[in-house]
Amino acid sequence: MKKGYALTTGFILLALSSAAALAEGPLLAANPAVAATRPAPKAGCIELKSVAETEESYRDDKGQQALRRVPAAKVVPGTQVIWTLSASNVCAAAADKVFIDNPVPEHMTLVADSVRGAGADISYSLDGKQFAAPDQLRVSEADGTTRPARADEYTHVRWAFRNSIGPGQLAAASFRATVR
Amino acid sequence: MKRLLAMAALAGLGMWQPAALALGTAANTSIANKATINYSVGGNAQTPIESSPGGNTTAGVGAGLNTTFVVDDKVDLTVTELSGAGTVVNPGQTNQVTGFRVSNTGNAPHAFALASANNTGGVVFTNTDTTDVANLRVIVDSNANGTFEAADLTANINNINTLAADANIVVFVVADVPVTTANGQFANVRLTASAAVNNTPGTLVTQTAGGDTAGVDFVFADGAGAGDIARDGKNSADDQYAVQSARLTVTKASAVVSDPFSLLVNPKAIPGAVVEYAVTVANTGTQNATGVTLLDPLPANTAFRPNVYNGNTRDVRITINGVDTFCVAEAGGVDTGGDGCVITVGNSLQVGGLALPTLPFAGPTNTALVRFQVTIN
Repeated sequence: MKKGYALTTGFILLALSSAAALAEGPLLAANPAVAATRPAPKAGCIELKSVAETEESYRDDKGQQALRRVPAAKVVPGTQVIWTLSASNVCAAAADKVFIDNPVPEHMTLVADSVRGAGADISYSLDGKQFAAPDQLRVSEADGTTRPARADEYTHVRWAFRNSIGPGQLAAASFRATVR
Repeated sequence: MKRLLAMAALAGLGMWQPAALALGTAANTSIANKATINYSVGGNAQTPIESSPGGNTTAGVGAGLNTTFVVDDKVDLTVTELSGAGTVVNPGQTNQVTGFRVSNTGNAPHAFALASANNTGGVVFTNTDTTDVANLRVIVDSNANGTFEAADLTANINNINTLAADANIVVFVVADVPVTTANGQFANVRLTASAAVNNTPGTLVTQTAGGDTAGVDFVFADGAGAGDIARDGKNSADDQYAVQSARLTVTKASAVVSDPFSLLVNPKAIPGAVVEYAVTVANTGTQNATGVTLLDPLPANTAFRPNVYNGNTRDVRITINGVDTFCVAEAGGVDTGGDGCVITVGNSLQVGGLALPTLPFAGPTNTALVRFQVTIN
């Protein structure tokens, strides 16, 4: 634990110095407004990968019908796409309070009960700002009444990982969405 | 309770509106997605990192890359029959119409090649196919008003050049009804539409084989039609021509009226005896019969007996629904009286014209009883 803290400190110092170096670059100098509002790009501690796949059926060695995942191919309206996110800690320090936000892609509808994430508390949003458990999300009807939101109305998914991700460790999350 | 109200208020602020999308996402649409991870190290919040397809570690908004794929061309169509019943036709009619609707239920515009055919056998509207129509043509509803007009026939558009996703158009199958068809026959016809390259109905779409390609792939998603299987890029439906016509039945009876010896009591068919023929013509079809002419060759060894009806002034008695009319059958083949009755040069009694009016297909007046007498030589 002690070692972890020491490394963390080292990392932050490194990051600061690299930001300072970049701030002197010609791009940011030419656009000081951007420099003031946005931090300069820097290497983070987590590598985040997003992959889109579809399932196709095939016959295995024993001639049995089976499903395998292939890169999103032959996608037409109605096709279910599996989005898989993997977050690996590429630093030597543990990352904690980790949460991943993912909007449900445009032209797609979240499939109910399809969100997975080991060790994560999953919440949803109807606007990308407020996240809550499904039983707390409500939608206003035209007549002024409200009802529970349906999964296909969710616009964002959040995975909040309960435990920290140690160096070299990987956290995975996934959801399925259907092309409208 | 308090919490629920709070959430309700929240939902009210950012009221969610369902997207009004009637049709599927258009082909060639790129679907993109990017996740963002937030984390802390040693209690210090770090700059969030966006995802990329291959993995991204660069922090900051805009540093990630979308993971994308392109929506492929879902080739889907339906052909439906319009009226839900057969088209009633009469033998000899031309340009008789059955109607269909071709709908593009896919996600891209396409041309559709159209073909019509007589069904052999098969049951449509519970009626088995028993005859064929001739000169089958496919005519697209050129002004898209859903009804068949002479202008559609003139425009003579035989294929659908382009039909947008979720759009539909009425297509007519037009045919001639052979005079040889008979009352109660059914000619079942089929319209088949095949998805083709947009604006090129001559080039049918082929499904992209194998895995995904970089471009837009074609994926057949159609269901099975009346004469085609699912996922073949085609759809088809059946319709029917129901032939209706007059159907005349003719029955003939004879009775000896008198003979020279027994006179009217138990007369026998001996030379010199008088025989009365009663010919019944009935229309049991489904259309009125007009221009009916009865031709009855007079039997050999008999002589037609004129002046036996209506106070011995007329030759033939015609009874329809209990009402008698009479006519004169002139010898020599010329109907000089113009009443429709004559003895032809070939020695047949001909009854037609004014003597036999329209025979309706139903009701008590659908049957005419024609009586005349001969003498046995």
